[in-house]
Amino acid sequence: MTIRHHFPDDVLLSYAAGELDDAMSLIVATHLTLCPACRKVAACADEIGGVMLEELPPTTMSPDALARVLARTEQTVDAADTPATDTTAPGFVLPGPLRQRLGGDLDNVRWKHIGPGVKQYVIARRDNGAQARLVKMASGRKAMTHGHAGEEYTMVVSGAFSDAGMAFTRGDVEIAGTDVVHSPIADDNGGCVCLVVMTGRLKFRNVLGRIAQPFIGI
Amino acid sequence: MIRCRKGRVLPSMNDVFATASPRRVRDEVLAGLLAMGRPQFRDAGAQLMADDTVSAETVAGATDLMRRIAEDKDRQAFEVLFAHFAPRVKSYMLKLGANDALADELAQETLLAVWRKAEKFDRAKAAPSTWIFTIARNLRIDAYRKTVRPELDPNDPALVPDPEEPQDHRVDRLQRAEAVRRAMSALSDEQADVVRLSFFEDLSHSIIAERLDVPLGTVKSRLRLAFAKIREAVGDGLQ
Repeated sequence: MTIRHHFPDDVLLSYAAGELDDAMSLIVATHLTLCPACRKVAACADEIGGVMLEELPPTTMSPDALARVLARTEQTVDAADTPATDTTAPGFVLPGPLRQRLGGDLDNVRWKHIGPGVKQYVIARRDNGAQARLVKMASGRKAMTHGHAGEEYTMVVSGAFSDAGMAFTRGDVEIAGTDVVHSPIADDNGGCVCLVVMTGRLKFRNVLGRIAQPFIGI
Repeated sequence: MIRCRKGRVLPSMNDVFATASPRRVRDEVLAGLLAMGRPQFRDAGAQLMADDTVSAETVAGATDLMRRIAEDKDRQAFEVLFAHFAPRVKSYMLKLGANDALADELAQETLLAVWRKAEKFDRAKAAPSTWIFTIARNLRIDAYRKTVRPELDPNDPALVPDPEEPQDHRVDRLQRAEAVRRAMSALSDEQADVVRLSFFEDLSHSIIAERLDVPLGTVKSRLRLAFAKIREAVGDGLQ
């Protein structure tokens, strides 16, 4: 399935520049795993970084810097320096960056009910910027109509959903800014699991949603 | 053009390449390095004199050094690469707010990672400067945050592979790096500013907007426009 809904270039450029916060970096890295087209854009942004590094005026290193690095090249590499081998069982669902953060695949997620047919798991709290969470919606379930105080990025990791007549499948990203009020509907055939990153709080249209909001942490 | 901190302008390698023979390029590079008078450059210069093939100044040269490090664990090659890149990585760290000691340490860590991961460097995919930039960027983020930066893993079994590209669409690495460099120097000042601020000031787009006193949308559109120009220059523009 080809991905039709991508990240805009300025987000990919920010990812390459290293200026995205943790939650945004997580969703971008997850998308890049599934999207060759955005990988190409991100690779070009890295090249810009390479050229800019090359053109920086050099700063003199400390006198013993090279000697110290050479001495350390002699040492054997600590176990901590080598990436842990992927112990995920075959047949996993989640892309690597998400598996790594969760320490396992989708079947290890400790879901929390937040409404009828809707569960979530908060991955990154908003302390250091945006919030990242996994949201699971049962077949045909409609999300409560909401607007946004910031930007909301919703990426399908499993299943599908539709919103305002557009279909979103694995890897697709829906971006909703402050001007968007919407209520995505999970696919009739198996629902969906999405990685959702929010840079600001949701604004629910109905009273129930506003009352529940502080308790479910969104 | 390469602008030095004191406003001195050196001939860009780019300009030199466009016109000169390989030997002239080498001489220009040497003259430039020796003129700068910094000890680490004199050392690098001496290496260059001794061996025609050793130079970290060009994509081809640096790629060759990377190959020698990966295949032969060639320490001499590493020293030349270190002399060129460590002082630039240090500048990068300083620009992004590290103090001198931390910037020095992060530059050392970056070059150590270059040595240790040399086999993973894929010269078909990136220029050494690009690869070293990504290592420096990630080490910086990991040093400042408690969590490891979420990164794409090219060996992830979940990775959706790239479509096969026709051979004639693959632009040579060296040409690509040169094209990016040229496209960047052709950006308007306004566009160049937002790109530079993004990479070197660790500012979110909204803070860049405040600093430049323009709306957030303007920052984003300048970035997109600048990026589109660069991508067009390397032949990525049309998909």
